[in-house]
Amino acid sequence: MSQRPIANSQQPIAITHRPWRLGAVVQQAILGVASIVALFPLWFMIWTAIRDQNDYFHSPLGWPRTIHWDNFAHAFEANIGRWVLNSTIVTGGAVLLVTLVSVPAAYAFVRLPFRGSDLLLRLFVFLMVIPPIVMLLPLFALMTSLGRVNHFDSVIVAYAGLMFPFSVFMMVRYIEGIPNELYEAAFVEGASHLRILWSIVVPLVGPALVTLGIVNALWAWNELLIAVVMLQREESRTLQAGLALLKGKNTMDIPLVMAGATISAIPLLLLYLFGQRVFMSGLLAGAVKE
Amino acid sequence: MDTPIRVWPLILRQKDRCRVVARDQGSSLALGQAVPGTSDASRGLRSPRRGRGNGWYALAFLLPSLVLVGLIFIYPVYSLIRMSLYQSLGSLSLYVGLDNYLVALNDPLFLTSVRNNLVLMICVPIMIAIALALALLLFEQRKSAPIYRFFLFVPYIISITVSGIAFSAMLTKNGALNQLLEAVGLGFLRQDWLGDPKIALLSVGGVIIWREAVLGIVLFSARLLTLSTEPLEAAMVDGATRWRAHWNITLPQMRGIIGFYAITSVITVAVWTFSYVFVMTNGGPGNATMTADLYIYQNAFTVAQMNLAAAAATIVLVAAIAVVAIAGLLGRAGSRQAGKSATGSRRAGKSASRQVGSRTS
Repeated sequence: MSQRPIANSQQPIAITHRPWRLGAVVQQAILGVASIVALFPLWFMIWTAIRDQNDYFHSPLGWPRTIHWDNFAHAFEANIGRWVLNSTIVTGGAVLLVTLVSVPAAYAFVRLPFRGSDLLLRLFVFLMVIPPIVMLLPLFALMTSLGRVNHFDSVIVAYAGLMFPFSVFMMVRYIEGIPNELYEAAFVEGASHLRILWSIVVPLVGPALVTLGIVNALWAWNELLIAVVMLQREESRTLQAGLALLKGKNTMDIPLVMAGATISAIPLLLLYLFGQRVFMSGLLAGAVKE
Repeated sequence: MDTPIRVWPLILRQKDRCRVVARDQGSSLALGQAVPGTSDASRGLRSPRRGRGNGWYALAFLLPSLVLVGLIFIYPVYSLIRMSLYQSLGSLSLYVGLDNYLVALNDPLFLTSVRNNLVLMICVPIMIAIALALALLLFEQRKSAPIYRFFLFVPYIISITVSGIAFSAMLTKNGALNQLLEAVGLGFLRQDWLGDPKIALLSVGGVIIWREAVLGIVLFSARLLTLSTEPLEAAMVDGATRWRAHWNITLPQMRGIIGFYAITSVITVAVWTFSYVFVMTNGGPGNATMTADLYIYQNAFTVAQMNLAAAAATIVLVAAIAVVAIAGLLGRAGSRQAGKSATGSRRAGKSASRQVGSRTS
């Protein structure tokens, strides 16, 4: 920037550093209000979960008359512990499966191109835009005929499939970034592709795998539609499906429902609190997903 | 990234050369910009090594994904279209051609749900405006940004189900929002937010904005950090106010990411609203908040009209693909234009600052 416009500007520099028209205080205030709006439902949820029903109906926002921990106990009586376990199994299984499927595929796209491999990759990535509601009916019919409704494997496979396009896309981008010399050296040593994948690629894309795992886990943990349809028995529900139906059943006992919601939000909030940086990069990568 | 492509053809056989070049062009995928950590420079060179048996390796590595995609995408789409052309009567299946589509398109409820999705589109510009404003504020208030960022991203961490549950309790007639309005002297704004058919859809839209704007903040913040600050400073030195400088210099540079966010948001409000409406209103009151995906869900799983639902789902599929195709065409046209005025942004920034400068002098 050798020719800054200042060269042809007539005015003295002193007045060119104009102060913010919208002062810093106002900006801070806007950010503060936005933060309150962002956090309010969470605060409301916790605030409601620790009081009893009468207290809530009397004044939803006021100070709780007594702290009432029973709601959490009742939420656990309503199977919520079981749902947490189910969600963990489904999320873990789906994340593991999609990782195992997408990493070798991405390696093949980058290192073993064949005729039409570009087209195939584009097709895979394109699948990202197809909403799950489209696949849901035939999948449900298929899983019914296979007798897999109410079994976790149906949901795990469905989640893995839905997470696959983004996962393979992201892994291709990362594996492409590995310098060629590393492969060449391994080839000279006589390593097979499987060996290279396992000993060179996987360690090098390790951080990316963590990010990918977080994006996928966040998505799977929070998914509702497929869980509601595929897991219909009370004891096989995931947390989100269980909560949605718990809310439908207990329209009056709002503190109980809020206790359930609080329990379900806590694991993710803790993760967010302690792993904010990883979460951020995960969100950023996940941006392409939705 | 040019050099390797020019060098390698000398070494490679003709057939492989085509492949390397082709792959290099192919790697600039349409959705590509937002993933961090990959450098373009390292991408030019790609496996020139094609020993015997690589085909088998490729097949073995791709087989699981082909099975998965076949099972979760290809078969269901095929089966869906088939289903939409038949009418099941007990165990009997009758071919009825496009009848299910005609029924869907003449079903007032389906039309209502599509109309509702279209109404929800007004969320998109609002989300963009809010996200842009907050991202710019975070960018300006650098010192305190981390703490605000931490708070502002929370809506995206909590699931739609959980926040939907919280909102549906807050938005009742005697709920927290109305009490809050009373408390700050805005009692005249009291509404039955989710119970009044006139405003229920807008309330749902508000919740969608509350959550989905976060994605915009994330994307825009990341893009802002990659921009060069020089043009901005130049404009400021020239006497532009900061907002003016942002408007004329920062904004044009963010066109690409705004476009990307706009597309994802359009898709979200068009075909991903199920979780919001299912948890908060289940389509009510009346059918005021019925959306296309909830319509499909209810037809398929509560009134057992599988074939009608399949037809509606096919329409949704076509709509989703159309949105992406149109966006892709617009994006291509846009980038061609941007390419033409590649040097334009700096020039625009300067002339804008000059304009402002001359006005203040």
